[in-house]
Amino acid sequence: MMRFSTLVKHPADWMTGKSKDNSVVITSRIRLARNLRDVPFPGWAMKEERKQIMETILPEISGLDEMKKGFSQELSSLESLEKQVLVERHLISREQAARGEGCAAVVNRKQSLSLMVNEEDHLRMQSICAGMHLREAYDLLDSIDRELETKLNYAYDGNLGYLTACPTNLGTGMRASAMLHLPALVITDQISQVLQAVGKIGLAVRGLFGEGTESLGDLFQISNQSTLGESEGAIIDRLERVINQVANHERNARLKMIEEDADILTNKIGRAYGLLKHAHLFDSKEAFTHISLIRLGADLGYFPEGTMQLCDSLMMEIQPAHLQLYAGKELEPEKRDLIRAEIIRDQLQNLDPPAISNIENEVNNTDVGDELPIEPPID
Amino acid sequence: MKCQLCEQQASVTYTKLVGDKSQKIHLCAECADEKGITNLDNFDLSDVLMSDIEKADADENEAVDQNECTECGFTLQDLRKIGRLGCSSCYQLFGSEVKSMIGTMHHGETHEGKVPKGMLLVIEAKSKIENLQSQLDKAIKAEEYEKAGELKNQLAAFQESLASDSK
Repeated sequence: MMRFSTLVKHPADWMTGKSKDNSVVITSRIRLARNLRDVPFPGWAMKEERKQIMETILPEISGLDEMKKGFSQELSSLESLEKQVLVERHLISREQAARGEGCAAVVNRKQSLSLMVNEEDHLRMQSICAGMHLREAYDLLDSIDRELETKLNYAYDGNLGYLTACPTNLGTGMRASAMLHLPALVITDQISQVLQAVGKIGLAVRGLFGEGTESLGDLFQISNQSTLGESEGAIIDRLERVINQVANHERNARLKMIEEDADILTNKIGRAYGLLKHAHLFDSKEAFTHISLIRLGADLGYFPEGTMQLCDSLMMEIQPAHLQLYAGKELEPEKRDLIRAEIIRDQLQNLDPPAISNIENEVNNTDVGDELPIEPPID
Repeated sequence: MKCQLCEQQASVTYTKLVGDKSQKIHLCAECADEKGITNLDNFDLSDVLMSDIEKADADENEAVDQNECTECGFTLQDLRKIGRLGCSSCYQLFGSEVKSMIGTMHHGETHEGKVPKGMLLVIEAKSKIENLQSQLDKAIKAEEYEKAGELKNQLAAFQESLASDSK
């Protein structure tokens, strides 16, 4: 079995996925909610009942081929800091972290699958992968679900579908979501317009950690709200179309900035670089703001390959629990700001300043409207 | 409040204690007079009131009992307070309440997605049993006792195989 220390030492698969394009859509996630028939939902169950439910579910999910040699822990056996690390990695929910006895988390080695026992529902399963790949994330989770449905007695109704503790999850019990990095839409003040349009067609937009969290580092989550009345495929199709549109807006905004306001953009990225390399204290919000610009710069050719992955892992490492784990002790917020700046300086020490000449080449190489491509002069 | 006998405005409320439950009956002055309720010296509820009033009251008491899930003890009040349910059985009991909640939050009211495999088997088994049962009924009606006997055996064997599968 995988130990907690092993889990935190290794980045999740999605963070190292160099081959996949995740410059705008960072990750795709699918969550399925399932419950056992005729036993109280976790929020209504007594402690003893919850334990019994866990004892029914845990062996079945730890026994899955995909989960073998993975991480499997009862939450009461984890320190609160450790639970917080799992939240920051999106492996368990904030709600689950607040729970204790009778609740468990199982994570596979690649950290692409995580299963929570006795969260709001008896079983919540999640798959996460890099880039815009909701369909793949769903297929992976679907295969797990099909294996489990032969072993666990799922609560299901012909009309209402999978029965969940909260009626908002009835039907498919599926929440599909994507994490998007939208700095250009934020800089060009188009973000609220775009997000409002998304909200109007019944999709939810949230910050980094879901419901009720503010956006840090220009990161936004878009997900479906309705789970009943449409098939899983139809929900994913609709979401995919919208997310692709938002991502295209972002890409266009990036290109337009580099074509029309290259100096302003270069100035922003250069300043972010300078601050990150030399500042002594950083709160989360400020750090995220600057790292977001470096990530944008990496996509636009200001920084060498691999810088985007560096930004993604940095965004993980500077969060409070990861940071305290790195420091080896619990720290007051002021102390954290000091360590945060230290981690950032350390991670970026080999990163060269933004390469402005690269950008000028890139601008010249970009096919702008009807203009003819630049050809070498004929002599 | 209307009189429970004639639909006029009720002005008399009669409360009777049965065990630890109370039954209330609302009547207008005329009906109350007619039934002798205003004359406290000489009346007996069971004599003067029509049986359907008692029945209506009995139904009401039953409805109160049904507000609690027999599986988990969750009540309608709990549902209204926290917006979640106690267990999967609650969905049958609080079906209409849930339906009114669903309207605004979902794309539709009926599940269109995945069906668990086990559930398909259950649905198939149910229709097979129904099919055998209706054939059996027909055979008995037509007095084809030999065929009926055979069907009865088939039905019993199938039900037994289901029972052993689920163990």
